[in-house]
Amino acid sequence: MKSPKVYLFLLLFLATSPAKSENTGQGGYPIYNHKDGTLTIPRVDTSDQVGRYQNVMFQFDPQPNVWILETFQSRESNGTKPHLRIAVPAVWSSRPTIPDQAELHVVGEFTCGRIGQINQRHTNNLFEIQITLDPLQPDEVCDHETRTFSRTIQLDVARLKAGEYQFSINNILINRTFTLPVDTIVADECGGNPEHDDSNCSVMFTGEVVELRNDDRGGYPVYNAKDGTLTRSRVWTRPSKSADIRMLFYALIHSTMHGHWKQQS
Amino acid sequence: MREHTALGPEFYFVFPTVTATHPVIPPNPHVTLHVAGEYTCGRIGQINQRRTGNLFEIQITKDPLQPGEVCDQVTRAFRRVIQLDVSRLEAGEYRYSINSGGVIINNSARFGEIGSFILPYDTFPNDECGGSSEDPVNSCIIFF
Repeated sequence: MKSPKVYLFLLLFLATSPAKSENTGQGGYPIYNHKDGTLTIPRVDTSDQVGRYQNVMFQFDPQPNVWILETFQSRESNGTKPHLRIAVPAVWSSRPTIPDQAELHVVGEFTCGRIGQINQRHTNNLFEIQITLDPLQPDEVCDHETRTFSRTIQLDVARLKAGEYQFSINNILINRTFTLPVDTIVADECGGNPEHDDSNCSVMFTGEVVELRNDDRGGYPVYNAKDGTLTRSRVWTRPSKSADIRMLFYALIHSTMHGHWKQQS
Repeated sequence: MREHTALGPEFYFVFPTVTATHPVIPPNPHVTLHVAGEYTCGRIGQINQRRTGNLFEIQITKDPLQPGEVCDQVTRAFRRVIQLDVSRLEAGEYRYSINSGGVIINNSARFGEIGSFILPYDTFPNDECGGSSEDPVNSCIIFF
């Protein structure tokens, strides 16, 4: 596999606005439709790739109590498509008024297709970015023209320690890092867990105690190829009459990507 | 399964903060919801959000105690600061609800109510282009 040639430039004066993800319906989170019993998962991660499967749809069959895999798209990142030309990080730090923000400016080329989902996840000091090249539809004809694209990807740097961070794009580690100058852990939070000493936590915001959020995978579904499990930490339902939001918590489903998935919890 | 009920956390106040510097100069607008409340017998779990139109729906989960745990009936306070995803939005007024809501009031909300905030300018990227096979070949030219 040939790595794309990557040029790095510093974009100090580029005025931009960020994007956490792109072209992911419903923000990338699973949605369960009460009416027709379908569960749509825009993005499923594996241990070695962000967004390995996309637009996965299950149909629930109550009689044998199984979820039937109806459709999914396989998107394997090999680092060559789309072809990246530039990937530049930029960090904005203007505390105390505005928390730190980090962006990744990417320029590349593609042929025969279109830019699809752009996903990210963060593990330790590594941000993994996936820029998907969706193939043309079966009835579309490729004109073999090479087209340029430019994207600004907002990196989720909330609740991180100050320090140096790496990033990869489509499984290619970019030889460039960015630095968070200060911790981005939110002050003014406290309480929420009876095991912690929250005796100083009141309902008044005073800016003193810090605590972390509770979803270590960022809320996205993860497929484990080794044991065949698909773990979804959060499922939204479409708004009902009372606009209620329900969540199936840690729905654990077993089977293979081509068969029936039995709901465990 | 986590369904909102009256036994969830009780919220004393919710207020938004909007920090914005300039329409075209980074950093981008930053919008946070400050939430304070109390809970008994459990712990604060996932905090999720989604946006439909101009409404941000926030879910603050109260996870129950584990089967082997005993509730001490102590009421505990908590505070959370929730960053709203306001990227790629048009300027204007946006509403927010915490664990489902109903009545609109200005710039603050209690449990079961909806508040609002103003996004002062658009947050669409201005240096993005291309990405579709329908685009003309030379329509996306990058300058540095």
